[in-house]
Amino acid sequence: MRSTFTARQMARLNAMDEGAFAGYVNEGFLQPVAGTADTFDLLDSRLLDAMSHLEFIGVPVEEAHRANDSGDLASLKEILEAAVARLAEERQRLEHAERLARTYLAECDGSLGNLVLNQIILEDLPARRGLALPLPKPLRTYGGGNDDAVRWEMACRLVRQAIMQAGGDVSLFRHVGYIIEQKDFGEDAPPLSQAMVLTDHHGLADTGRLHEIELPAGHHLTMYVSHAYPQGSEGTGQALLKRMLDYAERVGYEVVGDYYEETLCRWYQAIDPNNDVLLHACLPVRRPH
Amino acid sequence: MEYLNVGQMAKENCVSSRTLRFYQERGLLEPAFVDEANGRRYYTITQAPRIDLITQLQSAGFSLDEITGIIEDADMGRLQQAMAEKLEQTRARLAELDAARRASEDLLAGLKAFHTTPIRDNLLFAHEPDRLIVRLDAVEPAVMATWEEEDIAAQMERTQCHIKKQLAARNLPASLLRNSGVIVAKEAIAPEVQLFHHTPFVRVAPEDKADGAEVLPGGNALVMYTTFDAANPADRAQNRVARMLDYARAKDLEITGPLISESVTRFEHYFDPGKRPFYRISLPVRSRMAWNGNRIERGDAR
Repeated sequence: MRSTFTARQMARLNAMDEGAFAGYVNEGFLQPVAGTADTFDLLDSRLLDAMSHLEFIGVPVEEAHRANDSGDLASLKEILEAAVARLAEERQRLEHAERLARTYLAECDGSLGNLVLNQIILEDLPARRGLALPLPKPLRTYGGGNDDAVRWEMACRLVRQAIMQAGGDVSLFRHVGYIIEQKDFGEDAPPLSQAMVLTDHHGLADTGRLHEIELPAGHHLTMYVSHAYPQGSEGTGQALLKRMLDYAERVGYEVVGDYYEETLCRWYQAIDPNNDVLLHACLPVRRPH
Repeated sequence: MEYLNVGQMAKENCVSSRTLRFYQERGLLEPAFVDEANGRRYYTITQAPRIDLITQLQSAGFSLDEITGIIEDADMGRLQQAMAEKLEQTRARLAELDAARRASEDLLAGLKAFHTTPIRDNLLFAHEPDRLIVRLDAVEPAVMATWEEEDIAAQMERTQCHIKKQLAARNLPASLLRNSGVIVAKEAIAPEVQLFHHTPFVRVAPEDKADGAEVLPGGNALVMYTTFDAANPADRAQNRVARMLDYARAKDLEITGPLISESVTRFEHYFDPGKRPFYRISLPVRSRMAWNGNRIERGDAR
């Protein structure tokens, strides 16, 4: 005995919205039993299942139609494989989006929180990984000379270019900073030797000019600095380093690594170029016994 | 500070000159200076963080209208709120994508099994993995009774519809229908067992976070891949179960758990109702024979 039902009954049997069922009928995917206008074969529920499965995995309706019309499982396999590839691509895009949202939220939390600004403090920092790029000497500054804001920004641009050239995306261009090597501390104006970006995406180091770095865990003299690089200033980074080195010497801390600065927030500068970045300046030290 | 022309600014920021023009038209980034004599636009390098902000917000999933609003508001608290909402949406979409990926992989695996499983209607030994399942309510006997005049194909479809309704009632994705089957408790396994009368289930993944999920323990099993000719009343699932039980008896195998009948792929007959669904029946067993140190004998004889 053939089991037939009205459209309404079929929708209910298949736990489906009546409108959605009507949509499938209107698109010609489901057809009423010959000679009737509103009578459907229960076995056509299978087609509804096929459609809902294919739609669920993002197969466009037209492709699902084609698969149905051809009844060819080989073409269905191709359709499914293409769907898997599309899903993987969208997943990658969303992973970037998620990473960006998380870092922006952390940035907002840090900036809106009550950071102690411009004071030297002692922090126990975890080890962190990143990528670094040797900076050319001299740094091209489009006529900006030694203007701190311009030099800082040009260092950032070089990192961004290196990330993009290595196949990375803009979501990785966060937590940018630079390094002054310990061997240069004695100079009057120790150079910014490397620009860096803190990220776990070390794959980029294989393809571009970037190389892997690991910032050591342990005690650091640190400063959260706002307005570190106002336009027109010169030698501010070196001045921050000098202040921290003086403090370390005064209290007897041994300096045990390279000095680095990491951007915590560029929001205000993005809104108004006259504003400045919020930085985390870090100097690894060993505490006196 | 010197100005950068459009080409220089675009190059330093890995964007095109057209993109900078577009940002200007949308009011997202005004040049620092426009030469009125020739209309040329110039930027300062310290405007670069604005480009970073725009491209990163786009990458985070914000529309250009939303980005315009964020920049006009210039309020970090608002940015924080918008970003938290975006993060929630992104994570929800990621969960959907993962469910879709699992579904597409399952569908592909089912098709592959359909094409590559060489032995149908033969008995195999297999080691079944642990599986996570959700048991659904069995069809009420009174409801089942109303199906009796329908052919076996319609009854099978009725069972599938019942599973769909159960999934909807439990807020489980309809896509889990792909992994559905029936469990027959050990004590109810018999040659004449009516599979439709027993407990339907769907296989789930831990990520589905399904309420009431339980682990179906794995182990050795007699397995049969089979197709039913749903249009042939004589071709019944019971025939296969009876064969499995006969074999178990002949080989002195002890049944150790519930019988599972589950669909491998329904695509073959989705597109052609005349074709047969491809199923897999498994019967967990253990040999009663054991090595006693000198010879093999029945374990319960020791």
